[in-house]
Amino acid sequence: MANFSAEVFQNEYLPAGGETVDAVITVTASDVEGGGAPTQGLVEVIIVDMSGSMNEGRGAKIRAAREATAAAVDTLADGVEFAIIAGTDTATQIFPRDGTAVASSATRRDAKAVVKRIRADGGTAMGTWLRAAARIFETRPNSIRHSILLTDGKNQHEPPEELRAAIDSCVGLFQCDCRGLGVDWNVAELREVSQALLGTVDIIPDPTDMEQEFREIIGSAMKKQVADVALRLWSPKGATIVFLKQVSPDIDNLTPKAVVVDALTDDFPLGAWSGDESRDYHLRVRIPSGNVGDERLGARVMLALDGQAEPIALVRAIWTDDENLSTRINREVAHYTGQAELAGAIHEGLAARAAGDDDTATMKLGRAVQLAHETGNVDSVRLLQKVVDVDDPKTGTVRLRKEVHDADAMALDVRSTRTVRVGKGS
Amino acid sequence: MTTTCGNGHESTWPDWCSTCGERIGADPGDSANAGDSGRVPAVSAVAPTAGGAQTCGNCGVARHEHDVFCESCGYDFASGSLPQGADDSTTSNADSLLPMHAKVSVDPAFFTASVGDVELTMPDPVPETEIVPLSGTRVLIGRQSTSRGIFPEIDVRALTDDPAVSSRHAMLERAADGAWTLTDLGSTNGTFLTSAADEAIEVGTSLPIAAGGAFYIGAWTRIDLAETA
Repeated sequence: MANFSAEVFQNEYLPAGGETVDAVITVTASDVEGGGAPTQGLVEVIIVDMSGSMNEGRGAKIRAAREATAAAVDTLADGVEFAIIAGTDTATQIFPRDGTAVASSATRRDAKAVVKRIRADGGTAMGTWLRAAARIFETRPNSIRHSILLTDGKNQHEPPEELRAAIDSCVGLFQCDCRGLGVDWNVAELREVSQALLGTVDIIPDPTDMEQEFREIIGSAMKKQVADVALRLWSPKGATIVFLKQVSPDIDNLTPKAVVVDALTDDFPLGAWSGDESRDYHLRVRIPSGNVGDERLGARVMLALDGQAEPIALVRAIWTDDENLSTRINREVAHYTGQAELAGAIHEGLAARAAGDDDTATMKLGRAVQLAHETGNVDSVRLLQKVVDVDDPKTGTVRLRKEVHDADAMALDVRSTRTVRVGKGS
Repeated sequence: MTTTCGNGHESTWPDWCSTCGERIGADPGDSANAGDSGRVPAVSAVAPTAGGAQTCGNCGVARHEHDVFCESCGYDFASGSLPQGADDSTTSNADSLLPMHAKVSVDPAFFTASVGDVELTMPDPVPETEIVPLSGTRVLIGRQSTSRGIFPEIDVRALTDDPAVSSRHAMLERAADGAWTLTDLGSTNGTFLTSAADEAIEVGTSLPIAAGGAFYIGAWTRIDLAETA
């Protein structure tokens, strides 16, 4: 069973009349039993796109999808419950016929035999795929519930509101890591799925990389030990939670996911945790101003698990008229504010570039290069350099590249929310 | 078990009010444990309160229990600072000190030592050394940014045209005893005490700096402190 602790980074000093408290909260789970095996059972559903477009490239995609799915099945540890869904304009559960199978050498062999025979044909309606997965997960409320969704195309065979309704019906039921194969899928669509379902999203540009990617996703799912962890925030009467964002390992705004516990307390679902991981959250809360010299609690941070909540950190506010104290900028808060601005600049820059507004694109992507350089986000610098030529990273002087591969622009977009932690890099 | 906070709320927590968040059971002197967090304690300068005989930490005049400021010198008991723009004549300790000024100049040696592969060129002709008197208790060093509403007392944009200085780069502050300190406010490119540019001073830490002291910021800006005779 994982044990949770937290550390708060903030400048607790507010000027007279100040109401806004910013804090970065690092939550760390550590394994107290030292065992790597999940303490709750894992249910894994693999959803593979089998639409007609998967036949492109003389069947390279479908062959890679078969091999990657087989590799994922091979990676499942004995005892994990699993199922495989083939997605087209409908969803077909291909293994087992219904419910789940328990991983063993026999079931793994049977599953791979079925996977080998799957054919690609038909359209893409991801909402139906998610609903099919939900029907499986509904029967396993006390397990760690995880899925992989692979697609190579856009959601063409159902209206957007249908997908949105399907996503809404799956929130809290399972987590979903989404992967787009090639360059014909839509980043915004998959991001919507992965953000709502507390998962990740990434591009697999080349079918040959799929097998490795699937092994890694399953490997990381099998490390999870506790499902349905929530961050519980108490804030004082009259306070507003302006936002709560996960800021590491990537940026995810949790504010709209708040679940009311009582008048002063909200839960923010964090999904499943392994016994060895650490995530950072940026909280901004607005509280009624106190008098100079007053000290108050801006937020009490608790970790909720199995209906039990344990306090792990305090966010404080002290009013002072010493500007030297109140104007001090906390390093962690400043760092993640910069990382959020970086993600925003990339997003806006790419949108302007796609719309043909080269001036805005150059300015925004230049600012992104400058921020990535300043904060030591080496991966973002590398991805940006495939889209712009950098003249001077310090001032953000860049030129848009004329020849840009779609896969590079999509990789930059999809990975724009990845952050680095304070102290890495410059 | 419940306790009651200073605002009259019943609290289910013993340490903080579970309604308004007010600290419970902390008297003014006790709030010095704000320093627990490892930050600079806000109230460490409050004079000892033992035996009820309280005096101002700055001028030593007796203080009343509920005073927020010293009646004599205006010293703020909560934050341990003097009022901004305090007249020198009211702060007895500062009386004896001569006014200071900053000499802001372009230092080619620092530029050579600090700038690596960046394509920056020093202004030509080199701007003349400028004298800026240090007034008040706080002097911001940076680059003016109208859009962000930042107007530093020492604006290097006008003085040395140095592009590598941050908008809010560093702060010179006069403490209650009249001595000056230098604090880097989290600048992008750091503040250095030697022209070799080897090790930037730690962000957020106030270092004492006296007349005759110098420091370096940005790509080529040197600032010397001197007493105004």
